[in-house]
Amino acid sequence: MNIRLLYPFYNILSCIILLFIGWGFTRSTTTVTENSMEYTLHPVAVIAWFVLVLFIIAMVVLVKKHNKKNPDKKINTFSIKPPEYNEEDEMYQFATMNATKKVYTFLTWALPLILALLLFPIPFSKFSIFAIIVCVIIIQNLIFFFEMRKFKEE
Amino acid sequence: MLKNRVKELRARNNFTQSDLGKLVGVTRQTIAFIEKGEFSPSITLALKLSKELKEPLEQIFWLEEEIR
Repeated sequence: MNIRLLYPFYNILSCIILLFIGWGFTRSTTTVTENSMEYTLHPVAVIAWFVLVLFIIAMVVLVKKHNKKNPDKKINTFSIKPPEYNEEDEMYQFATMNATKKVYTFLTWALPLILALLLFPIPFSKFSIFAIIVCVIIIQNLIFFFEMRKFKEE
Repeated sequence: MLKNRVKELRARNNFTQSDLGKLVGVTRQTIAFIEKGEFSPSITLALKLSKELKEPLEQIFWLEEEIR
C-alpha cells in the first residue's frame, strides 16, 4: 500500500507511543529530602521514549526508501503540509478535499464537546486530558484514512 | 450520473490506462475510476481525453437520463 495512504496509521502509532510517555510521566515521582531532590521517571516513560526514537528512525528510513523509489512523488517530512495529503492529480485532490472536509466536520463537533466536558466539575487528571486529545487524533486520522481508501490503487 | 465510453475508446486506440493517463497528465488510477464512473473528470481533463481519444466530448461523456 501507498506510504501516503498509510500515513494516518503512523500518526496514530506515534500518538499511542506519546500516550505511554504521558502515562509514564504522570506516574513518575519526585522525592524531596532535606538537602536534595530526586526525580524518578517511571520505567514505562523510559521505554516509550526509546520506542519513539526507534519509530522516528524507522519513519525516516521508510520515507527515504519511498523517495528513492518515487523521485517524482517525494515526501518532505519537514513540510508544514501533512504527508498524507495526496495531490498527485485532480482525482486525488478531490479525495484529499473530501477527507479533510470530513475531518473538519469531526473537529467542529469534537472540540467544543471536549471543552464542554472539561467544564463539568469532574477532577480530570493531566493524563485523562492527554488521553482525550490522543483519542481525537486517532479518530481524525481514521476518518482521513477511510475516506482516502475509497480511492486506493487497485 | 455521468456515463462515459472511455474504456471502449481507449481499447479502440490501443492505449493502456497508464498510456492514456500519461497523455492527459493523470495517474492510471484516475483513468480507472473515470472508466468505472466513480469519478467525474473536470472539463479540462474531459477535453484532454476527447483530444487523445479522437472523439467529440459529447460522444464520450453524457448524463445518464439523456437519450443519446
